[in-house]
Amino acid sequence: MHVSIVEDDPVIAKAVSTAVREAGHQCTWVADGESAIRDKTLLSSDIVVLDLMLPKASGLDVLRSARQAGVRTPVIVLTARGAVPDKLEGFEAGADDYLVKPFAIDELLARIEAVHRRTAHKPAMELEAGDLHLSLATKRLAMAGRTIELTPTEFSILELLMRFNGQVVTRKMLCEHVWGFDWDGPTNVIEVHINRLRGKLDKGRDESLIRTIRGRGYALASV
Amino acid sequence: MPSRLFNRIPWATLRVRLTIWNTLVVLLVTLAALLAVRFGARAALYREADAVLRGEVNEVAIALKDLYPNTEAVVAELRRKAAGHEERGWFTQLLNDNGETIWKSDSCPDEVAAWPVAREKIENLVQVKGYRFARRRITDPADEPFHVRIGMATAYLDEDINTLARLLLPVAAGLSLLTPLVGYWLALRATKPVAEILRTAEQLKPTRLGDRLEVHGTKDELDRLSLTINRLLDEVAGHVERQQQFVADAAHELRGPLAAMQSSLEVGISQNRTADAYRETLADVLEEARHLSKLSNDLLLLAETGDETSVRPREEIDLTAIVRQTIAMFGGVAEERSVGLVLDPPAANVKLHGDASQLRQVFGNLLDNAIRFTPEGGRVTVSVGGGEAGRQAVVTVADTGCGIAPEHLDRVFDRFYKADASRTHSDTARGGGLGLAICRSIVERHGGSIVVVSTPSRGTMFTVRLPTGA
Repeated sequence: MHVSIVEDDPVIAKAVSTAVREAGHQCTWVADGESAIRDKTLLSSDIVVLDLMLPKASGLDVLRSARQAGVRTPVIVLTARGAVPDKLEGFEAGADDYLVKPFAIDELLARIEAVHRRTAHKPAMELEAGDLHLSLATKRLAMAGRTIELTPTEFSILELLMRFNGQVVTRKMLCEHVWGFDWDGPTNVIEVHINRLRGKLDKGRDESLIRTIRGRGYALASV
Repeated sequence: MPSRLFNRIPWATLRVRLTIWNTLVVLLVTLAALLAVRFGARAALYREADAVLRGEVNEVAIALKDLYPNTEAVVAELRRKAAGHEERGWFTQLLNDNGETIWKSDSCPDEVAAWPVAREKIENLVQVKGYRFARRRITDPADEPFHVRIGMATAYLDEDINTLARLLLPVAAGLSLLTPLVGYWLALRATKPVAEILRTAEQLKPTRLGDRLEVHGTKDELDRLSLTINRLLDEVAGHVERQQQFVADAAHELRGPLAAMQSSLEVGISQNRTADAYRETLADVLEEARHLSKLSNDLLLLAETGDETSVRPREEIDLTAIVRQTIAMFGGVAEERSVGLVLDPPAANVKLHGDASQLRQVFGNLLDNAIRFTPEGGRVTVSVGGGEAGRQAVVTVADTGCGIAPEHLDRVFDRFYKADASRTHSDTARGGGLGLAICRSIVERHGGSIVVVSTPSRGTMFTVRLPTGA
């Protein structure tokens, strides 16, 4: 997959490029809006990560000009302001997803995957990871052929971890996936459910199936 | 419009405008008084003259009866009367019942002499051009009635009135000259305190918010103006102080994580380390960066919610559903800590207009606190009520925790205030001290209120009231 990042801050651009390449994709950095329009960045990419605050031409200009030219490449917009009107403006201009700065790189990678999958093909109804088999239709988990009872919350958490098998999934992503909104307060509301999942999934294993990645989130151990 | 005209003139200060209005009013009143005097005097003079003429006619009538048939004596009497007031234009006339003049004074004008007699009237007054006369028909003792007329030229009366007017005109002229001067002096006196207030107000600067206007204690409008301005200054000064305190507190809070990052990075870079050690350092820095992120988000939310003018589009939301969702989120945590988390079954779903994500933040903060500060085996009870037509929605979050000491109770909503000292808890989570300040800010922006009651060692209850009107 070829990902382009249009971003004037070289530190963020470098971090995103590195992370995208390490995730096994190609990445091109475009430093300003004018170049993005001139080089038809959207046309030559599979997915574009677009900052809205850009020198010369704003991200919205880039987005509008490409959408008016009929280019449908998925775009994830980065905004410094998380206010509803700013987000709405982005969506109206033709964005597929948005992320408010500062953001976790892991979340950006996950959203790139998700947007790409959504625009490329239908979501799977069955998820597989190692000896885990999750049926989204029947809401059942089978581990090595054995059915394991999960609470709806646990099911939801495991579903997201399996969708991003091996990749880091942040607390924020899990909260939004499970409850529809994020909780960034003093209490980690995800941890207790992760621990219960571990209790159910880790019997007979030397290492936990769900790894805690300090400061980032959780990931399903690659098996 | 005069007032609009004044507004266009730059020199038209309040003082000048007062003077102009004052002068106009005084001149108008003077003019009205002059007119009243002129017409009043005229009416009085005419009334007086009429009474005299009548008296004279009646007198002649009596004399005629006495002297009859000696008409010469009567004529002599009439001549005497006309001559006696010649300088006032008096005249007399004696006629028979056919209107033929028997005798008339030389001063009797032709218009009056030719005026027909009125047989049906005994006595009345007649005005003919510039002349005015009383007449009387005398039927007794003669067989043929006589008519007597005594009159005067009204020009003499009018001359008297004009003399009066000539006397009053200089007075009016003097008033016209004096009024603006006196008016300006009065306006000067009246606006002097305003000018003083203005001078003091012009000295006021954002850096000198301690200055106040002088209050004289007279309790008049100007004193009240000073008091109002002083009260506004108090509020502005308080506001500025709170803002400065907020910025200082915020900077202080930001320094913590920054210092931690700095020392981690300095230690990490000081010598060659293993990859694991670097990873550990980076994880430390990342954690602090996350903390900074959260802090800046909170500050932004506070700044946003603190600004009452930033009105966001508000949709109709289901408050009961929001509370249920928040309870669902904290259910696992409460269970883990053996704290009962229950929702009193609400009567009906409560709908209101608001920002769902902000209200989730409110109930999330309240539940997070309640669960953290409630010991094992305790209980957190949530209720949703009200919301019936026109009534406000009420959400309560009550815990059986350690409670808050009374001295901290009214400060728990302050920004950066940490009541941790009074609330024993084992949790080392850095709350930041903004949670309840954000709650209050959000609730107040929704036009509602949040209050707390607490009994140490018994529990704490937060009550959120939100208006349900559109």
